[in-house]
Parts: sequence; structure tokens; C-alpha cells
Amino acid sequence: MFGVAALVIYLTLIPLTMMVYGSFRNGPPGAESSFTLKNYVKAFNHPVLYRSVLNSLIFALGAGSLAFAIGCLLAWFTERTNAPLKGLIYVAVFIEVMIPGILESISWVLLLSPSIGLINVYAKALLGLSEAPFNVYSMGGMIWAFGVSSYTVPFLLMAAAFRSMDPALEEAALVSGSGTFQTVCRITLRLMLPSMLATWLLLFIRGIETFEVPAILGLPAGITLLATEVYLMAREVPTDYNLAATFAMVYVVVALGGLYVYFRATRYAERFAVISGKGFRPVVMNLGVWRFLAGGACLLLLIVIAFLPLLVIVYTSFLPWYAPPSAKMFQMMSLDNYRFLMGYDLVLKAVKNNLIVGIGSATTTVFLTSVIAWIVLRSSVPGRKALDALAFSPIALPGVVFGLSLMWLYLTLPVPVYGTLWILFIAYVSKYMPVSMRACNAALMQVNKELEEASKASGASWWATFRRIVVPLILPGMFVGWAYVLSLTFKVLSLPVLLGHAGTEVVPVLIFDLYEGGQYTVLNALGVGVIVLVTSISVVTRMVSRRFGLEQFE
Amino acid sequence: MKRLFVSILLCLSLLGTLCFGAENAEELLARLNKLPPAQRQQQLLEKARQERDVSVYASFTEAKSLSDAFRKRYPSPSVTIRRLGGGRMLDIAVTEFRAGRHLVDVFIGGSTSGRPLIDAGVIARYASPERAQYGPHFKDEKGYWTAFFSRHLVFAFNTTLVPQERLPKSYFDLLNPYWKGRLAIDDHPGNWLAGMIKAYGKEKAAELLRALARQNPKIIRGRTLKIQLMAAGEVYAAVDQTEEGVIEMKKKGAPVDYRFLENTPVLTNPVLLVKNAPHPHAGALFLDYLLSKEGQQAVVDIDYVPTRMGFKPKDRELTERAAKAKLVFFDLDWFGERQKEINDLINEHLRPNR
Repeated sequence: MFGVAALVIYLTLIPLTMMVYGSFRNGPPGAESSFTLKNYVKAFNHPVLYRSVLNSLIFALGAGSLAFAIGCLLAWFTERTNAPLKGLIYVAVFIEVMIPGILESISWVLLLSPSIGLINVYAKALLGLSEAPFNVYSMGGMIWAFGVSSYTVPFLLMAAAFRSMDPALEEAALVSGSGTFQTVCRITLRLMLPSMLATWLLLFIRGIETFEVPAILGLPAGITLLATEVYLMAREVPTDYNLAATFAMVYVVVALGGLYVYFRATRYAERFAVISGKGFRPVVMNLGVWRFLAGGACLLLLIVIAFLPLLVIVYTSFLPWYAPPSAKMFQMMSLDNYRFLMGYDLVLKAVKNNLIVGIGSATTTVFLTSVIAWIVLRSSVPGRKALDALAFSPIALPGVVFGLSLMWLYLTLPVPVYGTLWILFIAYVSKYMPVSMRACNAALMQVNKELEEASKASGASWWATFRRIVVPLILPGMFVGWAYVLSLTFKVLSLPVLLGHAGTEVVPVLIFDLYEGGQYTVLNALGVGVIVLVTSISVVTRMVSRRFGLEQFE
Repeated sequence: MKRLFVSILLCLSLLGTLCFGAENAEELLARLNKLPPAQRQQQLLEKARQERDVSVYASFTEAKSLSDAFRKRYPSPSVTIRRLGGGRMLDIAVTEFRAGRHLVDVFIGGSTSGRPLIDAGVIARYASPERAQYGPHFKDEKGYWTAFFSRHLVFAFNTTLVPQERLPKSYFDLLNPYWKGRLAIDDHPGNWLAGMIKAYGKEKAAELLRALARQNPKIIRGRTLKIQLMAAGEVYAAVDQTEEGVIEMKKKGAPVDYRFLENTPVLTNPVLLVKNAPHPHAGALFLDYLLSKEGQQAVVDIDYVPTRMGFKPKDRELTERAAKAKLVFFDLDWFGERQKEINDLINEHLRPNR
């Protein structure tokens, strides 16, 4: 247990210290430098800092709310109603999680741009409008594009929470005379507060740090976010490492502020414990004939948020270049992009490397964070809250700052990991620990202590209790963390572009290679390939989980 | 006792050789260059084979095709390519160098990172015999770099949207109200701006950038997205597009074309040998190959613009258009000296709300 805590401190504290140190120096790691406050003066005198921070807050809150609403709604439909099309919702979630971020952002340009966006073009033609009804190059467009591409985490976290809800508590409220609305507000929502807040926090911080939507949609619109500033700084040659580290400090403050709110709201953990020694089965609400309407509404929502961008990606994957659909373009469709991909030797290697390092780091991260969550929530070890904050802090470190810090560390330490998959493994475990931490923390908060106490009273060791009681009960939460970390290893470029070597390329490097090489339509074919692969894995997982009775994974 | 004393002495002498006697790539190859050409080549080849591998950091995707061509000519040494973006190439290489980890032999591409790498002390001077075949625009006097291919930052446009009579001749024609809201420009058009500064001077170039920014161009991340959106009709034209993407899409039938405006900037993409290269001979052999006739033919084969005298691009139309154009050359050194002021100008004039 303490070994795990020490490992977490090692994985997070060193890069964090290097970043704080870097923000007070005037040179990058390894270069001669001296102490300075100039970075802070420069950052806080930055002409657009305050506007960028404000824009970031609006963007993160807006996109977070949208993603949260979609995720919650879909989770509720799937877990607590008898609405049809549940399988389709799961497929949509897996598709969304695997679409490369850059393709998704560009898809929204191709759908909602005022001049060429397909939705706008057809809306104008059908409704006889003189102006396009939607403009993706706006704050609203950015919120939409990011919000509808981020519903996986709220869906998975909230689905796990809905599944863990003991309906007896709601029934007790109803029997005591509460109305349905009152029961939802006073019982259901309050019990799910840890999961809801954890989801919110993750979405909010992701919204603050994401750079693809701000760079692709924000820059043409003249809207700069904090992430845009860091992106532009990293775009300059040479990268201003120290100023980027200083900007990252703003991220850290925002992230820790969010964590503080989470701590305050969930400080009495036992209030949220719904899984106790008493058995229960989640009750499914019978919607009657409304279930078809609910299913139809879900389908419509999924078409708009998931299948339309997917359709653009599939359509583009058959074209020599992108152009709006027309008879000419349909005639030009071919399998050339797929053929190119088959002959591209990096594809198999990158997918194989990604699966190895992704599965390895996701599994390790989830194991570490489940232990840390136990220490934070169950033990009385002094400094446990600090441990939680520490495990959460890497979320705020921009990839370029984090990557360069790790590079320097493992270039100078006599640990032979640089240039191997191990450095990516270490980077992923450190960087994605916060995501998994929140999922495990929220899941454990819903488990009553009495089950562990019963185990201990029966003479089981800590490890046996953890392995045989805690882990099975928080498994749905752990699975959420695992799946999300794995998907991030397939999507995020900032770490592998710095730490990946020849022979250790992963899928984001391949995406970068194709994109930078101008092979945009081939990249769409790759996106389709990855989606088919992951959807197949998810279908097989569902079949296997059914076969072994593990319905909680469905 | 005597045996122990001898052992210590041997160890010390070995350590001394390692610390003080080890030559870096620059010294080693300078010594090699003093040999008669045939003997030099034979020794280079032998030692390159012994080193077995050459490690290359490349800033462009097609580097793999060049390494394949090299392997056809020289089955040994093998080539390991690490693909990196220009900015990241500098960050990584300098961090490795400062940490004393020497993992790379040769850098290729990276027109913006070349000079900072030289300034950081990473690069060796190497007088490849092939350098004699390169004009003054494509090499420096000291021997740090040689450009083995070049690119032009052409004006690219959508042929369906832009009528012939609207096509500009100079960048200043883009200030016409017709182009308002119809142009695209890179989110960091450093190379293009460098060309403008070289051609018109800092004041006039800054004024041009300011006036262009007032035309509300779409600031787009990267050339790939720019050309795709232009072909789709999202923008009418791009101010600063490298020609190879336009040519490739034009060949496929996309409604795009390009034009050399007055003072079209020429990007020089260098090959640089690393001072502390772990495989100096293999690195030198690879560098020599890229500059050789065969290497330049490989450059032609991947549709890039060769820089060796007597070589022309595969695309005849490009050759003809470039021959008639007024081009502006700026090299790594010139660009490197002005990198900060270029960054400052972009930050001042092309960033929203400043």
C-alpha cells in the first residue's frame, strides 16, 4: 500500500516540481539558467491572458455542461429505463472515444461551416434561408464541437453510478410521501454527487487543456483560449519552455480549485455509500409506450452527435480529396486510401505498440489509483488529501511541458527507458492518473465501509480484502478509468511526439505523420479502420461478458 | 602489487584516451577528407559498414522513401528514421545533447530548426565533396548545412471560385477588397514573413502583414488542413502554401492551382551532420548520398524540388513556372538571425484581439 503511494509520489511529484522550477528559470531543462520572476511578469502582462482565461472558462463550462447533459441522458436511458437501442448507444460511445480528435474537429467544420458546411448548405436549400443558420467558427460552435465529442466519460461514469444505486432508498422516499421530482432531487441526485462532481471536474479540466478545437475552430474565429496560447507558444521555434510552464501553473491553480470544490462537496464520504451488505437489483423504469419515443429521441441525438461526423469521415475515406457530396464525387470514390494504408508499414507496428503500451499503462494506472482512492477515503494516513491532489495534478500539465520534463529526467537518470516503450508507459501512467483517480474515487465513495470491516473481522488481510471485496465492487468505476485511459493513448499526440522513437511509434504518431504529410483522406481511412477495430473489440467484450454473466460491463 | 599498479596505469590510460583522445565527427571527417578521393570513399564505406546503422531525425513524411533509396544503393548501414515536427525536432535534439545522450547522426528537413541547432553546438562542420555541386543559396560557407531540397511558398487558389482576371501578381494585390474574408494563412507563417522581410525590408513586410490581417484571413493550423479546406471551397485561396500538396491534389483532379507571386519565398531544407554522432561515418555516407546525383534523383522521384545544379523537378509545369518567377531566397543563417523578430511580428499582428 505504501509502496504504491511512494510510486505515485515519484510519478507525479518530479514532473510537477520540474514544471514549478521551470516557471522560475530563464532556460529550458539542462541549459544554463538563473532564477527569475520574469516569466510570471510576462505571463500576467500577456495582452490576452485575462481574456483567454475568461474564454477558457466559458468554453470549459459550456462544453462540460453539454457533454454532461448528453452523457447523463444516455446513461439514464441505458441503465434505468426499458428504452430500446441500448446496444446502439454503447456502439456510439465506443465510436466517439476512438475517433481521432483532429478528424472530429474537422468533421464539424465540414458540417457546420457557414460556407461549405453540409448541414448549413442543406438547411439553406430546404428552408430557403439567405444566411447559414449555424457558424462553427464561434464560441457556440466550439462548445458544440467539443461538448458532443466528450460525452463518453460522463456516460460511463454516470452509467456506473446509476447501476450502483440501491432503489430501496428512492422507494423509501416515495413511500414517505415525496413526489418523483422531490425524490430525484433529494435522493437520486444527492447520492450520485461524487460521480457527478467527478465527471464535471474531468470535463472541465479537459475543456481547459484541450487544444484541437481551440486551434482549428477558435483561431479562424479570432477566439483565443488559454490552451491556444500554450499551443502557439509551443508552435514557435524554439519553444518557450519556461513561459509555457508558467502558463501551466494557471492550469494547476484552476485544476486544484476544482478539486477543492470536489473535496468540500464530498467531505462526508459515508453519506454517499449506497453499496452495502444488503443485496439489490437496479430497478428499470417501464416507460410503456413512451419507450419507443424515448428510443427515437436517443437515435436522433446519436445521429446528430455521433453518426453525422462519422458519416463525413467514412465518406471522405473513399475520396481523393474532400468535396461536398455530388454525382462527380460519388464517381470518384475508390478504395485507394485503404490500399495506401495497407501498404504503409507503420500501421501494424503503431497499432501493436499502442495496444501494448495502452493496455499496460491503463491497467497499471487503474490499479495504482484504486489503491490511492482507498488510502484517501478509507485510511487515516496523514497527508492523504495531499496525495489525492498530487495524483490529480498531472491533468493540468500541458503535454509539451510534461513531455520535456520527463525527457530530461530519463535522459539524466541511469534508468534505461529513454527510446523504449517504457518511457511512454511511465508518461501515460503519470499523465492519465487523474482521470482514473476520479473514476475510482467516485466508485469507492459509493461502497459502504461495513463490507470491508466484515472481511477484516473474518481475519482477511488488507490485500485479501482489497482484492476480493473492494476491487469487485468498484470494478465498473475501474473499467471506466481503464477504457478512458486506453482511448487517450490512441488519441493524444503531445506525449508520444516527444517521447516516441523509431520503432516505438504509436497510433497518434501515425496520425501526425499522415496529417503532416498531407494525406488527409488516408487519415480518414485510418480513422474508419480504428473505429471498426474498436467496435469489434467492444462487441466481442459484450458477448464474452454476457457469456460469463458480467453484465456490469455492458 | 606490481600487477595491480600496471592494471591501474592501463585503466588510467584508457580513461585518458576516452576523455581526451576521442574525436568528434567534425575532426574525424576532416581527417578523412585529407585522403585521396578514392581512398577516402573506400574508408568511409568500410567504417560506415562497421557502424552498421545511421540514426536520422526527419521533419517530413517522405524521408522514408529517401532512406529506402539509400538502402538500395548501400545495403549497409541500415537507416533508422525518427519522424518529428520542426519545432519538436529542436526541443528533442537540444535536450538530448544537453543531457549528454548522443543518439542521432543526421538531421534532415527542418528549415526553421537548423540554425538554432547550430547555435546550440549540436551540428558539425562537414565538407562533403558533393557540396561543390550546390549554389550559394543552398549551403553555408562554414560547412554546417547544405540544402538538399527546396520548396516554394506559392499562392494557391480554388480554380472554381477565383476567376483568372482576379488572380494576383504580387502579395500587395491581396489587399484588394475582393480578397476580404476569402484568404487563408498559416497560424505561424514565419517562413513566408521571412521571405517578405528579405524582399521588402522589415517595415514594408510588417505593413503588408498588418494589412493582410485586416483582410480577415482564416488563420488555419497547418498546410494540410489549408489545402483541403481550399479544395472544398471553404476559402478561395491560401497565401503561403508549399507547392507539392497543390500539385498532388491538382493531379488527382481537385479544383486547385498555384501561382508564383512576385518574390515568392523559397524554403531551403537542409541536411546536417551531428557533431557527437554515434555513427559519424554512416552519417557522412548518408549525407553524401542525399547530395549526390543518385540522392537528388531520389528527391526528384518523391516530387520534391532538387537543389543540386543540373537537376530539375519532375513536374515540368513547376519547372517552367519557377523559371519565370521572381523568387526570394533566404537561408538558415539569415532566418535564424531574425527568428525572434519574426515571431514577435506574428504575435503582434496576426494574433486575434491584440
